[in-house]
Amino acid sequence: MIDKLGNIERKVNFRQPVEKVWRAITDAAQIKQWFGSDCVFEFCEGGEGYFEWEEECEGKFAMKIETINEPHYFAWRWMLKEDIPFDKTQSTLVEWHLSKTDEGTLLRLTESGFVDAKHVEMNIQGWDQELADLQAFVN
Amino acid sequence: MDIFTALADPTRRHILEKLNREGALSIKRLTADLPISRQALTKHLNRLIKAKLIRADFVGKEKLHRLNPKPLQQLDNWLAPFSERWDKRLEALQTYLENDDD
Repeated sequence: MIDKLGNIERKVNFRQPVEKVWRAITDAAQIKQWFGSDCVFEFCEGGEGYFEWEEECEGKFAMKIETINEPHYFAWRWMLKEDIPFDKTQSTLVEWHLSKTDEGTLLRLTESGFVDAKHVEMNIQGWDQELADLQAFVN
Repeated sequence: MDIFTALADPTRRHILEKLNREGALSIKRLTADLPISRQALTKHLNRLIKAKLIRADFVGKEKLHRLNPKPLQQLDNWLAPFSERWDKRLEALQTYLENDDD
């Protein structure tokens, strides 16, 4: 589901306990088993690193950890484009909320900040292109 | 102004969120919890009207602003690929945890 102002939200249930899911989403060695082809970061608040998807695209997506609240909340920001240094204003915020359920663990994942980060830039690029086209047409 | 520029401003997003929660509101009600002047608010409202994200109608003597969510579909469309990527990743996480059961 995407809410009205452009945040992504997902809820997933796991049969495993919170601690196990926590390790799978915070330990770089485990993350690369399911998330991408490579994942490197310094595990502390403010710690920086990157994600990589070798098969899907070349390049590294810079990321930075914002909050670690073991074992219920983990938040990091990452860049929408590969191979550029981390810049908060061009990043989106990914938040992982874990809670205990009768069956195991509920994960609520949100990604937000698209409007701040990408849309503005996209819009500007769009206008540059359109104005260039207009110029070419008029000339 | 297009929808992305209209949404890029936090005050304008606040206005849209408030209209989404509370329905049709007058300028007076909208300024109540915003730290900006009436003039500044009017400017933002006009921008949102130009982006077709809100509509303003007179009800008697009062001008009421309400959300027009339709153009937000553009934003949903743009976000869809980002959103779908999470489905695959979370499925992979589920599979990883199942196989790692010991």
